[in-house]
Amino acid sequence: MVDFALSEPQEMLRRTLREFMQREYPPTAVRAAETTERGYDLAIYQRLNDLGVLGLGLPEEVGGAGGSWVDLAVFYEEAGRALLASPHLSSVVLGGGLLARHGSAAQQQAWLADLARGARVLAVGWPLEGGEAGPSGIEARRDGDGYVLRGEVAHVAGYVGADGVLLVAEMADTGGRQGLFLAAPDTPGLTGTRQPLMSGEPLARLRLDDARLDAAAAVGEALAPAALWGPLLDGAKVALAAYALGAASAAVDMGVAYAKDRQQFGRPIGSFQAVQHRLANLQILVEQARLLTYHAAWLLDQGADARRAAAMAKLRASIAVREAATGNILVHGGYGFMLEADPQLYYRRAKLLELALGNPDAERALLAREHQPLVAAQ
Amino acid sequence: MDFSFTPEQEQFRQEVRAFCRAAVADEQMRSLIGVGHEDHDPTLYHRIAERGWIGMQWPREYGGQERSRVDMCIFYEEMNYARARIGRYTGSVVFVGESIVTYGTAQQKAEFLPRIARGELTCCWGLTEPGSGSDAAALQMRAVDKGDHFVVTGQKVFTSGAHLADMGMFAVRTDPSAPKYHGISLLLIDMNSPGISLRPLHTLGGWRVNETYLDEVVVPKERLMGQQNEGWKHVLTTLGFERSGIASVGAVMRTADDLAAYMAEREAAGQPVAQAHKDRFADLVAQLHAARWMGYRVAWMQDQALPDLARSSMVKVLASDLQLHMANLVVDVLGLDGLVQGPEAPLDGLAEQLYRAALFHHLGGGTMEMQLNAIALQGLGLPRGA
Repeated sequence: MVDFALSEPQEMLRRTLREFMQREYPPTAVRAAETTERGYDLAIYQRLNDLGVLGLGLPEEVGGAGGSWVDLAVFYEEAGRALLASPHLSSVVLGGGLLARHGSAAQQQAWLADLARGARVLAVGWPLEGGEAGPSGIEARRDGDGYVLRGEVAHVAGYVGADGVLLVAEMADTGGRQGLFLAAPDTPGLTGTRQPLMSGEPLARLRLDDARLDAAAAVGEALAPAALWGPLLDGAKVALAAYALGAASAAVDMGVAYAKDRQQFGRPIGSFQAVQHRLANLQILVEQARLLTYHAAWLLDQGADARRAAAMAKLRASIAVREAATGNILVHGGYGFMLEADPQLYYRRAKLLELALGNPDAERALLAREHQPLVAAQ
Repeated sequence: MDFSFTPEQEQFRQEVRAFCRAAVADEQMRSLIGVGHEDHDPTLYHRIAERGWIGMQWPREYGGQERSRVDMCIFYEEMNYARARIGRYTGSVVFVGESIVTYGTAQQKAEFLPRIARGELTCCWGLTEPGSGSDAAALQMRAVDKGDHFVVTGQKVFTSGAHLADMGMFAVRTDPSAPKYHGISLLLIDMNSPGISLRPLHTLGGWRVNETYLDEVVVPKERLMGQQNEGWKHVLTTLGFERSGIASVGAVMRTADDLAAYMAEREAAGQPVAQAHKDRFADLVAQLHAARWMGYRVAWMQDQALPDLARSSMVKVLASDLQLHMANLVVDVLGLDGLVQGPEAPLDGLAEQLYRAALFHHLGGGTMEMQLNAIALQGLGLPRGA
């Protein structure tokens, strides 16, 4: 039966997160995080463990908090509202997810519980723009009982300050299969160069110059890329769409609040139709993103193929956050262009959110290639 | 959070879909050309009534099936997808029928609802006048209270279906000395009454609407709906019904599927479709899925008795936009063939008619500007202008 309300526990989760963010992560915290080396405040990230959310998306039996993709979407939407900087997507959703899927018992025991409570952070050697399984730019070949890796992957998220990195590499002479390798940041031959972004959280360019890894570093078997990732990239895409949705929603709320307060010509600027219509159109974009994001999360929870739904969610959430962040600056007038005001915090992050894990052009191309009719033909 | 329908709802959808596939045959489709979506096929309408689907949401004592708003949304989606010619459905069920249910007298309910449900009584809604469109409350049609009846004189414009309907619900001014928003009443008027005359207005979309003239039309007091002089709030309620009913997502879904089929044929015939067109199409399809769920959410909110907060206006704005963008894309993909009239053109010659019809949704049931105002004021809580 269609039901567009969250469950009681989900509502409680949302409220708890909203209160946490308001208390612990106001815009001053967003600005402070930008000045750190990692680009995020590790202490605040770890404090999220008290809410039991860091392990969301990882099964309880491996030390995670369990939960559904809808639960994760609730977490990410609230995180997006507050522009929370954190390594969670790469560390827990992707890194933890891949280890849970492919890791040996020893590898899972070594990492998952710590990842799930924020005690350690794992990066994944994957270019942030990549929304579909495919080559990473790193190649691995067998060398005795170990492996040698070479190549480059840019735009790796959450690498600065990470305790380890899960490298994704094409296995030589396997016809395109990929393998996963757990590597320490100080592995000889592995260099990471910090790539600062306009949005505060740095990415990293990883270079592997014949870096040698032991057999024990390999995680699972070499697989075709789609089998390696399974639904994880779609899931990460949906989580990011939820984050973008939260950011878009908060940007519209900020614009509405300002429009009610700021007076010109003897009345609130929100009483002028030009301003009203701008904000009303943004709200429609937000609602589109909301329905598509939660539908995709729900489909993932049903174990259904969510590839198209995730692409639609990411596409419309990207557009919503870019337009809302832009419109919010414009509603603020000249003040919106000032660094000391908050609209620019959303604007500088919106473009990254648009490009990460599948930009709108990539999602449109995916949807065009894999189009399905809205109603099955007779 | 649940995006699935119950087995009963899935079955209902399949029933409606099978009915439509059988009833709305290709021959009927071809005869739609040049006539448009306000067209009404009485035979089809009666067959729908026989299934109990007219007024399906009403209590059984009035001929309904006590179905939910979500069920109605399913019905609308399937009917619009099939392009079923039931132009009087919205006027009879959504405008007038729902209004009678909400603020009609017990006698009006007993007298009219069963007849509407049986498909025997079709209705139109007379609100707009030459001098009062978006500013609907500035209406001037005068109803003089003569004790046991009213005498009504005035003019309505753009009256959909007045030439087909048995009965009209008219917003009239019963107290010209009261302030604008007070002094308005709603009357149910027999369209065969002496003193009613019509002048056809032919639309860009291909269908007919009307100028509706009332010249000293006698209306019995029993035909007053709700409170005399406090009809404006009833008008607002009816406009709310209209907004949630008028969204035509199903029709855009059909156009999308027809266009996709056409594009696939073109590719197969070695005439590739431009990537730019495929990308635009993909984006519109994503928005269409969003509009579809937003529509079901409005229906769900109505079933939960949750306040609308302008969400129905949001669906209307989005669905209208999608109609226009999809119509443009269809013609862009078809090229000049998309402007050729008649059944020999691709897509059964519907492309140019869809293009002409598309702007209706930006205007009927309230302009886009009025919807955006409602979203701003009721949805976002922004302050009213001076």
